[in-house]
Amino acid sequence: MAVAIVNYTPGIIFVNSVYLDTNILVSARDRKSQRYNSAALLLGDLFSNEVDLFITNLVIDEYIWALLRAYYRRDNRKELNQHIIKANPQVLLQYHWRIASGVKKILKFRRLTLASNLVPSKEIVVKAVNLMRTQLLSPRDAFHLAFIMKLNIDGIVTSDGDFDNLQIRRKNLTIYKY
Amino acid sequence: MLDILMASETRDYQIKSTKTDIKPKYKSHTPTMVQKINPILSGTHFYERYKGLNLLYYQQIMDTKDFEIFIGFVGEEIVGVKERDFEVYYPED
Repeated sequence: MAVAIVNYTPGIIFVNSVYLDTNILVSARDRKSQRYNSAALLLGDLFSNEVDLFITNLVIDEYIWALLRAYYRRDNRKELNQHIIKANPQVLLQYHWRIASGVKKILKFRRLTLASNLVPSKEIVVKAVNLMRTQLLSPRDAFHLAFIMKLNIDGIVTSDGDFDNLQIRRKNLTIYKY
Repeated sequence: MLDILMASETRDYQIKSTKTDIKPKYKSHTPTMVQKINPILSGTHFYERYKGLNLLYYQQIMDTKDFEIFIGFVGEEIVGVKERDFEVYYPED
């Protein structure tokens, strides 16, 4: 049993279930993102292969933040930060309908499971904290991996390298990079 | 059904989009592939959104509902997300 890293190419055969990292959802939605084309192709292949898709609330949270930052930067030519939001919470309302529209469309994906409630929270917390130590992951990535392992999901789709050095012996995990 | 969905979705998008999002120019060299799917929407805006995606292929191999959801989701935003936007621990300044 091991972790396998697979570079995505169109037409690839997927495992039965994959966890969607936030970046594929955002990149496939934003046609001005650097990875738009590969992300959209990959999402199309996941759909056409009828792969079971998993996300958690964490993914939605990250999706919202990524787009909020991009909207704000595009419209104001500066970066959004916590000081700006605390000083003017109305900033959030400015982009709310677009954010909500995107989230609504994600939740319409067929074969998508919002898995946050499928595992007792205490088990996830314990697992994630343990993974931080054993896999040297950031807290957020440890939580993603905790869900993947607890739900026995076969793979993850991501563009970043945060999971490249995993050493997992008890489970096969395929990491699809695009 | 597909034409209705796409027309409706695009109209909704154009109404709510900021002015920088709207590129209503229509050119004559739109690919045949797009014209076959929906001649009304065969313009630059449509082409840019789905360029590189073989929609006819997806339409053939995907379940109809899957296809509608797919084309309604991909490429709708034009914001230029950067890698750092995915960082949970974002720099304050």
